[in-house]
Amino acid sequence: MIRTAIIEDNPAVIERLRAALGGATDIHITAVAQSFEEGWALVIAGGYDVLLCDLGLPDGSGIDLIRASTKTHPESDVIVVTIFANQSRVIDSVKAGAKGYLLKDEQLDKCAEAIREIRRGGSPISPIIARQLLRRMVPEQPARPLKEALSGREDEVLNLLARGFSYAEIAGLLALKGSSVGTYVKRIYKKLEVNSRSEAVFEATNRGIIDVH
Amino acid sequence: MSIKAGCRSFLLCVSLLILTAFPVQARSVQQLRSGEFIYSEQRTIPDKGWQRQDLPFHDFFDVDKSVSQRRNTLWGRFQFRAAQSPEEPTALLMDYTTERFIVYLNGVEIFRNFSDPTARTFASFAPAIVPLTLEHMRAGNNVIDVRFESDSGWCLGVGHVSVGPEKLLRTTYDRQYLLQFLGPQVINGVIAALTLCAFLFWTRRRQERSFFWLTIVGVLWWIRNLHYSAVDPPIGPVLMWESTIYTLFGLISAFFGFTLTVFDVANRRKWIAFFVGLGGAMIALRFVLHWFGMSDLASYLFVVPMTLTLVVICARAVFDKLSVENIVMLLATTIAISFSFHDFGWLGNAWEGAGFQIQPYASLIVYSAFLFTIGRRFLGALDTVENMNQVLAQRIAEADSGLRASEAARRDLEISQAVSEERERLMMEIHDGIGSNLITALSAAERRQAAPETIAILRQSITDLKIAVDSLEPIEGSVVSLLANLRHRLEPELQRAGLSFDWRVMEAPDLPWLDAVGALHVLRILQEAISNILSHSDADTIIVECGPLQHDGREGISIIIRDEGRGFDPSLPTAGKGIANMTTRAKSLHGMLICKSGIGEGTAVRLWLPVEYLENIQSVEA
Repeated sequence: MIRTAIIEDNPAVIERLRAALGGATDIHITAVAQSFEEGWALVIAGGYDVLLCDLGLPDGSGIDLIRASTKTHPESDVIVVTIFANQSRVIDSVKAGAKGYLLKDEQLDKCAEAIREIRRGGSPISPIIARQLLRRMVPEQPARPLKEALSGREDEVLNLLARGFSYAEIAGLLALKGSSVGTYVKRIYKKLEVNSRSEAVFEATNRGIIDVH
Repeated sequence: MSIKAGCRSFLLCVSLLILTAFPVQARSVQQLRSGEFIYSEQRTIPDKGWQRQDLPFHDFFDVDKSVSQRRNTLWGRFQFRAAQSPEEPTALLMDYTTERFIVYLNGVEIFRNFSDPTARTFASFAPAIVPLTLEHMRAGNNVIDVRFESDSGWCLGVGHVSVGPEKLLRTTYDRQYLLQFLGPQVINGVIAALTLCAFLFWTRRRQERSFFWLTIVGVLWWIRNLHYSAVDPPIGPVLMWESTIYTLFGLISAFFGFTLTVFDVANRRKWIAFFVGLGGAMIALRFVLHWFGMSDLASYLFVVPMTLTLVVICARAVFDKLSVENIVMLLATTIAISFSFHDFGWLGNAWEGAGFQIQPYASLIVYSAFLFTIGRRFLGALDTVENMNQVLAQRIAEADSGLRASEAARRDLEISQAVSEERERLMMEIHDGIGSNLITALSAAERRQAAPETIAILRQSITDLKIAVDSLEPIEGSVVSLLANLRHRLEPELQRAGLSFDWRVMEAPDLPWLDAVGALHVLRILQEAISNILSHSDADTIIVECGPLQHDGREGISIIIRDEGRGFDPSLPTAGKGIANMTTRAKSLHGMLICKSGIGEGTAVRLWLPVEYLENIQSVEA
């Protein structure tokens, strides 16, 4: 049984999620929050395996809730619920600890599969996000070494993802098991999160030294 | 100039100097080896008491110098043999005589170098030539008596004495006059000029202490060299001699000051103070000895260990660093000491040597060497400063360009940040506004089981909005990313329609000109091509190819979207609208679009985009 919590302010979306998950016997909705405040209480209370979280809440940013959830329940997976999965939002979410995203329209029908997939260890990614990750994690002239650099295989996978190949096609091209491309993506997300955390510490320290005025 | 060549030419100069200094011996010239001497104030030639002494004969060191027992007159007697009938003019040549002398030939006075008995001619270093009058010459043995007078009383004596044909002796005289009298004068003039330079330099750069010491060395050496060429010193011969002697001690101390400063030895100030003190002690010692009427030889003996110490200091410097300056310093010090040693021994009658005092020459050599050493160092320092200036200028230029670059980058960053903030605001607006509403509408339509057309239009609107949002994503001109994301967007729709992609996308160059407007054009072209396939082709696979392609010799990328479906007749007017639309968009991107189709042949849309715009195309477009 996968315990799932939802933070989403649009009732229509909640409705569709309930409808989509209603038929799944292995997924159980444990809690629903419709604002940042409720969401905060939900995160503090915990007791979920997967958190579906909207970013644009009327009283706060979902990013902060994702960060809090990653910190307090690192064993749980966070999936961002978004309309466009535009890269800045997804990457900010991944930096905060999200492991996947769900598009609010057609993919909601398949959200049960997305939840199962993320528990199996696989994450979705879009080519533009893959490209951004390549730019961030394989810089031509890194200002300083990354705490968690990409492995050669991860780099290859990201390159193919950025060129628009599907998981199945990549698995075929690189002779991987079908499920492992998603696993690579989840691992890359984790590395981005770790790097951005150490980067934040580094930048904070730096600013502490440099900002004299 | 290499060190070796420098040393060689230096040694050559020295040996030439020494060689020319030796008096040239003519065969018919008789150089007298000894003479008879007597100290006597007598006005006439003494009869007895003569003592044989080797020539040169001087009483510089081992005579009693107390004022009370001063001996002011020395008689010398020299004998030579003349030819049976001497017809050639004959002369007597003497060097290192004293202030006043009278020459007698066979008991008759034939020459005196003064008319006033109180004259204090000091030119003892100038040789003296006296023609021997033929009428007083005798065939066979001849006697020359010379009465030497001096006010100081302890530098009586004579150097070399020769008799011979005047013509030959005149040549010797000229050479000696040049080397022993005129030479030191010229050298002292040069030293004065160099010292003035060193002094002026030091007044401008007080921190250059080596120039201070060089000035002191120069001044003292100039004073000391005066006695070689002074004729009638205003301070009188006695004081002249005293100053010459005392200057030596000061000079040695100044040598130490200079050498220790140049080599910058540890505890330099203490050592200099020590050696200056030692110089003072020698002056005091000599003064005391002189006061008590004792020989001042002891005070000179101090000079030996001191000068040897100087050589050791220089040798150590050479050992530490084999530089031209250090070698020159060592050579100069060695020359100064060996020349002094030569003169000391010559004055003390220990050896004949060059036959005259060579120290004035040493002074020029050494002074030039010192000047060379610090001049070279100074030039080296100038070079360093110049290099440093160059390095600094370069660093400033680098820093300047770095600053400009970072300033430009900062401005660019500000602009791009403003753009991205604005984009983010728009995105948020679309996401939380239109997007959210569309999603709600779609949910409502689905729940109420609205007409399939309504649902389809809502889905289409959401897809269009997504594509528009994608065109705003910062992809830095990567058409491959656009293409890839389009697949990502359209895949669910295609799957619903039972189609799949045959994805053949290769790496392709980025298009630096591709902005959001361009990106949207590209996306709309591709979307149109794909949706044509969806609606009309009846195919089950969409083949997408992308890669670099040159067109008319220009770099570019090619995107092909094709199917193997039923195709259409391009000549039919209904087929034209969508293609015309795509072509217009491609043109506005400075690209090309070709659509190929035929009934039963499938359709292929080929889009070519340049990596860089051509200026002339732009102007034609304008």
